Amino acid sequence: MASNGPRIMAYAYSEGPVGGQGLSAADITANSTLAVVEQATPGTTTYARPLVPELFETQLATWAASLSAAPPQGAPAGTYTITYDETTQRVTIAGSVLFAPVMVGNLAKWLGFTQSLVGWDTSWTGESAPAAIAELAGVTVEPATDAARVDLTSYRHGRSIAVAWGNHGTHRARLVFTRSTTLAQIKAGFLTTGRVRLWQCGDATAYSASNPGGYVDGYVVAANEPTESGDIGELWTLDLVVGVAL
Amino acid sequence: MLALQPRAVDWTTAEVEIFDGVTLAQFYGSSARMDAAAVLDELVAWATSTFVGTFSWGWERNAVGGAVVTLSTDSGTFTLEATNADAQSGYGLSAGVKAAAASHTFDSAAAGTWAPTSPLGVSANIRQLGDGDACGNGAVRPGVPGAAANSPRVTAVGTAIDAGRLTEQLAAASSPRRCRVYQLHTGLWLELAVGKVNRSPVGLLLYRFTFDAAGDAI
Repeated sequence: MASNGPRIMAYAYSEGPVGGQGLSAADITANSTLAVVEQATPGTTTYARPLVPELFETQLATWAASLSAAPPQGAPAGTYTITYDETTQRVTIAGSVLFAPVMVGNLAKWLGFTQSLVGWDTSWTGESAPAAIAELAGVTVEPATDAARVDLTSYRHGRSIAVAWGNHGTHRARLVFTRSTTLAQIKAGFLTTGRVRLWQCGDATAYSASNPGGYVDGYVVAANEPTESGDIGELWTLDLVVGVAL
Repeated sequence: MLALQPRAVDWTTAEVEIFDGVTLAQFYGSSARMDAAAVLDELVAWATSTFVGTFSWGWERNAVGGAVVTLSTDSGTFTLEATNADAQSGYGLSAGVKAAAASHTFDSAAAGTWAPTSPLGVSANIRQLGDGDACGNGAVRPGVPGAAANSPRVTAVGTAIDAGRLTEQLAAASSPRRCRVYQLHTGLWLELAVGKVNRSPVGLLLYRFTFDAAGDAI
């Protein structure tokens, strides 16, 4: 499956600070704060978080860079890579030293780590597919429609006026999930609420009026219930309405 | 072709400079809020009265569903320049002087223009009485000007590119929303108030567009 689609990916809210050692739990931003504890320094927890809301894949790179920076922002000894494999649909956190990842809030579900994270290792791979991304069997993204409110009034004297408010648009999208995407992954809600990016098929550039096949960055304004489809229920279908600024 | 009045272009500021070898003169639209078709009508009237030749304008659909304008004269040649940002974005002209020629095809689609794959259908552009209490139905005969609104049906069929272009231009249109649309069978440009635009798929690759529109736009 091409890395540019069809797929849907969520954005995670974050407002920093960027992270480091000795930060308190009060600084933690759910879904955006990852921490590691290295075996050689078990009393030190190193946090990493983006300064701004980021796309899931961007967030992985930001975490890795932050944890790999020189201490005290980075971990005491190790350098880290955090990758998502679209074939296995798993996230792997790898370090140059023995370490344990620490996930707070919903981060474990966000990344697909549904196993117990105990002991020390140089590589940790999620047991489940992340809830922040789904590889799709197919997707239909309609071109944007103008969603401004327009009042068209015709007066008795025969003249007319159409007053418009707003300049936002919407995309209607139909997502077809395969069985490799579980219902729990959809119902976690990260892909059906907030800001998401929808790749159609292979086009790595953004949607525009002249490039309707590009990816769409927008906010989910409506989502229906997932529908089971296919002869033996091998597919899930989900309709989204994604709002965008025009 | 349908031409919406763009919000970002001030046609009274947009300056087009024409030089026919003898006379150098500048053109400005008569009103800040106009559609491209109306401005071009004014431009050719002004140019015809200012220079030797008789000027005319035409348009052609481009690859992104907009209308690219051609300005021509029937006598001699002329240079053409859009001297400021309003003119460049409004008319679809790049910066700089176009070398002397009898006809100039502009560089990109004019602001607010929409030229879908199929010609636009404009029908039933006639006065219609409303229904219900106090509508005047029965007291005023249908067809009496000033007593009922024009409610033409405006339809078109287009591609996803056309859908994208229309949405983009609607979002960039001024409010109140007005457009000028070319009615093929009468050869007239009709000025309409544009309400909601409905879009429905036709087959796998095309969309049908239906406009809520009414005549005598304020």
